[in-house]
Amino acid sequence: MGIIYQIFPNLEKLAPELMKCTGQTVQMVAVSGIISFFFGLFFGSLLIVTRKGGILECVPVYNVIDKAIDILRSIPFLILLFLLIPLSRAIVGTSLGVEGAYVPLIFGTVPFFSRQIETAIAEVDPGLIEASEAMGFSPVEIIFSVYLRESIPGIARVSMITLISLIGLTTMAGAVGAGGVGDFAIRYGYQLHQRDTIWISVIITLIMVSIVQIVGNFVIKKTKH
Amino acid sequence: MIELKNVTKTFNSAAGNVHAVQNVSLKIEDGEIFGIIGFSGAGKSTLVRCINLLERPDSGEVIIDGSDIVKLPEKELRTVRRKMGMIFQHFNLMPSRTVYNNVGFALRKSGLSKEEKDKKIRSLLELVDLSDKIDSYPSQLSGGQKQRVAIARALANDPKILLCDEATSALDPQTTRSILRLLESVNKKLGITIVIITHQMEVVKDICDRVAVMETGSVVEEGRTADVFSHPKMPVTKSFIETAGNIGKIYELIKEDNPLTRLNPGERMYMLTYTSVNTKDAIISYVSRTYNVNASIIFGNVEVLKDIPLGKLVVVFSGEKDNIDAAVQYIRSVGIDTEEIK
Ligand SMILES: Nc1ncnc2c1ncn2[C@@H]1O[C@H](COP(=O)(O)OP(=O)(O)O)[C@@H](O)[C@H]1O
Ligand SMILES: [Mg+2]
Repeated sequence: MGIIYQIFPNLEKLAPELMKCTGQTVQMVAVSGIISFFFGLFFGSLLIVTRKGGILECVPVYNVIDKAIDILRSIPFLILLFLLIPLSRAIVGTSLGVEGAYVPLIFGTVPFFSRQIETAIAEVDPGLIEASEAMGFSPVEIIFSVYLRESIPGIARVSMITLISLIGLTTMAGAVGAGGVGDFAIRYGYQLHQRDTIWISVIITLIMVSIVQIVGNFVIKKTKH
Repeated sequence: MIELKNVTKTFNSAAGNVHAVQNVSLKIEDGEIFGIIGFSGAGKSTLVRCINLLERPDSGEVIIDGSDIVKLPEKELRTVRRKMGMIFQHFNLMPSRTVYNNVGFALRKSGLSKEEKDKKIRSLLELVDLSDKIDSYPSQLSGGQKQRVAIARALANDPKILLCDEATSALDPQTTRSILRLLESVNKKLGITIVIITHQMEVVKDICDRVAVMETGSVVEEGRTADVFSHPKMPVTKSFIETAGNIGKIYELIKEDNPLTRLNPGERMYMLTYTSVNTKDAIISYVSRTYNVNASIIFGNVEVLKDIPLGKLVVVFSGEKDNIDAAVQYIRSVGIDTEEIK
């Protein structure tokens, strides 16, 4: 412990604050990650089935989602943070703190993730869909039992990538008052010139990213045959 | 019975319209093995997909056991589809599921209890001789084994019809034969009507009772396999016969002016095509003696179409012109297809 406190002189006194901020980051990533996950699966699948030649072909629906994703993805996250203040107030009742970050984080993640899910599902062999249709399965059954089920390794891969980029987004949300590790780095590292706290934030982030990668790779390994 | 009436399907694409299936009418009887042969792009897959309506025809009727399924709403159509198995060139097994679960997948809506499903899956895998691979994943199986799993899956809901789209095209000749034997036993044991789409003459020759020949979206010839291939009417049918066996070789040799095919003055070369009806009589030696012509056989080939032998002989006759004419006329009169090829 002594050595660690030598390298990071401010760690001892800031440890409780660091724990709190890490907890906030985990909370933001977990809540918006889980919500984004379901939205992403939904929109990604919807893109696949409504595209031309899809099992529920409906090109207008496809076009609307497709364009909406492109537009949302082209808005820089920092601007999205401010842009969504009214929406956040309307939905979660506040635009401040951890709760206030959920809406922008979800809006910043879902378009990217939906696109990634679309790509992952698109890798499912069309022959499997043909076979399932021939076996008399309905489109909904095919979405769950074939498209999603057969692309679990791909979904795990893109979820991993998205979760890592979501961790990045939370630090930005922190910059505008949501708390978390990013907020910690700015307050102590940048504003108070305690450079070791920046390194501490880097390490904490690296640990979170590594955990995501380890879990993701484990899932991929277990589900790929 | 499967009855197609004036089935037409056109694909519209940027590059123009493709008339994949044009006004096809076919009747496939219960319990028969029906082949549809044609070169790539002839429209075979589209046609077979019209039978279970994976492809909806633009017009025409698809009558299964007396009712036109084109008119059915999606939900009922799915029930009908469960009574039609289908297998594919690339097997289309679910990579994330074991052999057991691949077959089990087809039983999801069967309404059977867990125990009944288990029993069913095991008996199906026994039928296709794969009981030892029950917990393997498709990636651990050979092509032939994958197709066996696909057959087990296709049979899971006790279908009355099995559609096979190029089911053996990705397999080596030996595996192809073993899969064909399996299909044959499925047809005999379970009485399932089998529709086989293929571009391989060997397949049709081996197991099809009847065959339809397709070209550019249309059925150009149809009938009992032995009849169609012993008396082909269309060039496309003839070219299939040439791809099977080696009789097509003779045309190449003639073209190359191979010494074997060179004729002396007064000699004529004929291709004789005969089926079991007339194979047993000593026709060549009979005409040779009776009409005083020399007959030398320079090329011969016997195919077995389903159970009927189909022989082809290339014979060079020499002698008096009138005698040769008379000999040929006699041969024709006993029902042997005789064509002068040089
Ligand atoms: N979904 C499709 N869209 C456009 N053209 C198609 C489609 N499916 C098949 N075709 C065209 O229809 C023709 C017949 O195809 P197909 O039925 O697959 O032939 P085969 O199985 O005999 O090789 C081909 O020219 C093919 O390119
Ligand atoms: Mg085909």
